[in-house]
Amino acid sequence: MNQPETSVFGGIGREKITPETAGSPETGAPLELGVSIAGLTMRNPVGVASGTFGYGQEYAELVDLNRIGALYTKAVTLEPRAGNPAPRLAETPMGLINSIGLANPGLDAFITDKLPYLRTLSCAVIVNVAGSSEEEYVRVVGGIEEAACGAGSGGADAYEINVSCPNVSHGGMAFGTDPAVVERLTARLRKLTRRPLIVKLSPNVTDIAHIARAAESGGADALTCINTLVGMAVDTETLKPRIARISGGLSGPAIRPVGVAAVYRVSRAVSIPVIGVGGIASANDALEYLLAGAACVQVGTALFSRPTAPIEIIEGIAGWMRRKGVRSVDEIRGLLEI
Amino acid sequence: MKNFRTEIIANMPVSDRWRLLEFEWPDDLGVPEPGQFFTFLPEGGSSPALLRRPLAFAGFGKDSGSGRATALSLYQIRGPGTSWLSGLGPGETLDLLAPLGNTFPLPQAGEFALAAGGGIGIGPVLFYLSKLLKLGLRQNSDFLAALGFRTGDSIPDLRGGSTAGTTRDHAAGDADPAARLSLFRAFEASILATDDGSAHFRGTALDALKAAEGSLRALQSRPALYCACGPMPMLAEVARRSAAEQRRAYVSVEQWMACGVGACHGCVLPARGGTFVRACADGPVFEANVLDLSSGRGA
Repeated sequence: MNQPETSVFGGIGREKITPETAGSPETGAPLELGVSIAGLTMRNPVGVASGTFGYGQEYAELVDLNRIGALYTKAVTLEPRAGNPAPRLAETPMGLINSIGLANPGLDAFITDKLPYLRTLSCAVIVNVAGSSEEEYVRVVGGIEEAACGAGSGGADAYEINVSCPNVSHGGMAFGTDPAVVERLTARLRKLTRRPLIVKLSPNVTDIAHIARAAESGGADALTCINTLVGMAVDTETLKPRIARISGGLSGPAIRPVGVAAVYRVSRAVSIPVIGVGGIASANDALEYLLAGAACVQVGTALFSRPTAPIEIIEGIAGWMRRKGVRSVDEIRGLLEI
Repeated sequence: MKNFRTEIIANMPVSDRWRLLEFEWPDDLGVPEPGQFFTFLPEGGSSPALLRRPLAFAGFGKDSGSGRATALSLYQIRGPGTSWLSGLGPGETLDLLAPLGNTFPLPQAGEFALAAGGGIGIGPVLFYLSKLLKLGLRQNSDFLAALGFRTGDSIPDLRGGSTAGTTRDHAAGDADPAARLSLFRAFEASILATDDGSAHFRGTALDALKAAEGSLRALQSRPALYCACGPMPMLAEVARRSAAEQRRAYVSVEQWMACGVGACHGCVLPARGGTFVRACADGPVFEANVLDLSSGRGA
C-alpha cells in the first residue's frame, strides 16, 4: 500500500479544514466529530453522495454547505456526456431506480465552471471520476492534478474512483467487477496523485471483499461501499420497463441492509477506511453503518426528500454520542457487539 | 427557493379525482409566477412514497382584508404521494420546496396570447390567465384560452369560494379568498372543450382555440403567442401548429423528478439535436421548438 506522504490535504488553495467539536454537558469534554481519511480531515463524518448533490451550487440556497463533512461531486468524465434517454427515474417501495448515465459537462468545463466554486467551500471536496476506459480515468485525474498546479485554482481534496456505475455500457461497473482491472487501474491512478484515492465499490459482485482487497493492493487509501444495486421495474399497463434503459441502479432505504452488510464485511477484509453509503436517511441509519465498521458516511437519495438531512444526521449522531458517552466518531466502529 | 412548512387553508375536491389545494405563502419569499412549481414531501408512517412530488402552481393571491398571501395548486390523485396529500385537511401542515422552475412569458406589446390547457395541465394555464386578467388584458381582444377535458363529467367545479363548509375561511367568516377568486375568473374566461362532446365544444382545447380564432377580428394580422400545458401529444400539436403558423410557442412539461433543483439530472426530456433538458431547472416551460416531442417517451 502506497500511503500519501503529506498528511494534510485540506490546505491546498484555501484554509485548512477544522474538525468539528460539540459540547458535551454530561462529561464536560467536547465530542470529536471530525474524522480523517488518509490524512484528509473532514469536519464531521457526514458527506453527500456523488450524483445526488450536483456540484454543490444547486443546493447552496437550501443547505449550509460548510456544515457538511464532505461533498462528493457528480461524476466527471473526460468529455461532456448527455446521459441516458428519459425516463431516467422510477420510484419503488422505499427505493429509487435511476439511470442517469453519468450526464456531466466533462473535465474542461468542470475545471472552469465548477471547481472554482467548490474551492470556496470549507467542506472536503472529493471529485468523483468515471470513464469508459482506463485511459479516460487517467486523463481526468491527471487533468485535475494539472489544474491544481495552475495559478491558484486549487484542485480536489481527494478522488473517488467510480468503478461501479451500473448505467453505462462501457467502463463503470464493468471495471468494478473485475479484481485485476480494479487493482491495475488503482495502481495507475496512484502514480498520478498524492491526494487520497477512494475507490467506490459495486455491490453487484459475488464477493465484494475480493474487489476491496484488489483496490487496496492497487494503492487505494479508502473504499466507498456501496454503489447502487441493479434494479428493474415494469409498468404493467403500458407493458414497458419504467426506465428507458430497461434497468438502472437502485438506491434508498431499500438497499440499506445490503450496504451495512457490505461495510461490515469489507471493513474486516482490508486495513484502509471504509466509507458507508446506501439508504441513509437518519442519524440512526448512519450509526448502523458506523457501528458496522464505516469511518464515515454519505447521504444520497434522502437529500431529494429532505435537503437538510445531512445536518439533522450530524446533530443526531452528536446526540447519540452524548447519550452513549462516546467521545469521538472514530470510537464508534469499535463498539459493535458480536 | 426555500424549504419550509406551510399551513393548508383548503384541500377540496373539485371533481372525482381532482383536488384544489390552497396553502399559506410566506412573507419572506418571492411570489410564485405562472409556470413555476413546488415539490411537497409525503410524510408519515402510512405514506409509502419516498420522493417529493412536483405540483404546478394554479394561482396566487393576497387577501385585501387579512393581508394573508396564499397559493393554489390543482392536482389529480394518481399514486401514493397525491393520495396521501388528499387526506390532509385545513390547519394541517405540509413540507414544501418552492418556488421552483421558470415561467410562461407574457405577451409582448401588441401580441395576442393563445393559451391551451389539457387535463390536469389546466392549473398553470389558469394561473397564466389570472395574471393576464390582472394586467388588464381582456378575453377575445387580447387573449383566447381553451381548456380540454375527456368528458363533461370530468370538468372541475372551481367555484371554490362558494364551497361552504370545506375551508377554514368559511368557518372564520372570511368571504374574500383572493387566490381562489382569481382562479375562478380565469376559468370563466376560458372556452371549455370535451373529447367526447358530452359538454361544450366537441374536440380538443387546440381545436376549440382554432374554431374561436377563425371568427375573431382582433387576432387578424397580429402576432400571437401560444402558451400550453397538457399531455405530450397536445404539446407536440402545439409545436407543429405554431411552426406552421410562424408563431412563438411555449409549453410546460411534466416528468418524474427527484431533486427538483437541477442536481440529479433525473427529470430530463429529449431536446432537438440529441441533447436533454432538465424539466426542473431548465424548465418546466420550454420554447416548443427546443424539445424533441416526437419520441413520446416523455411524461
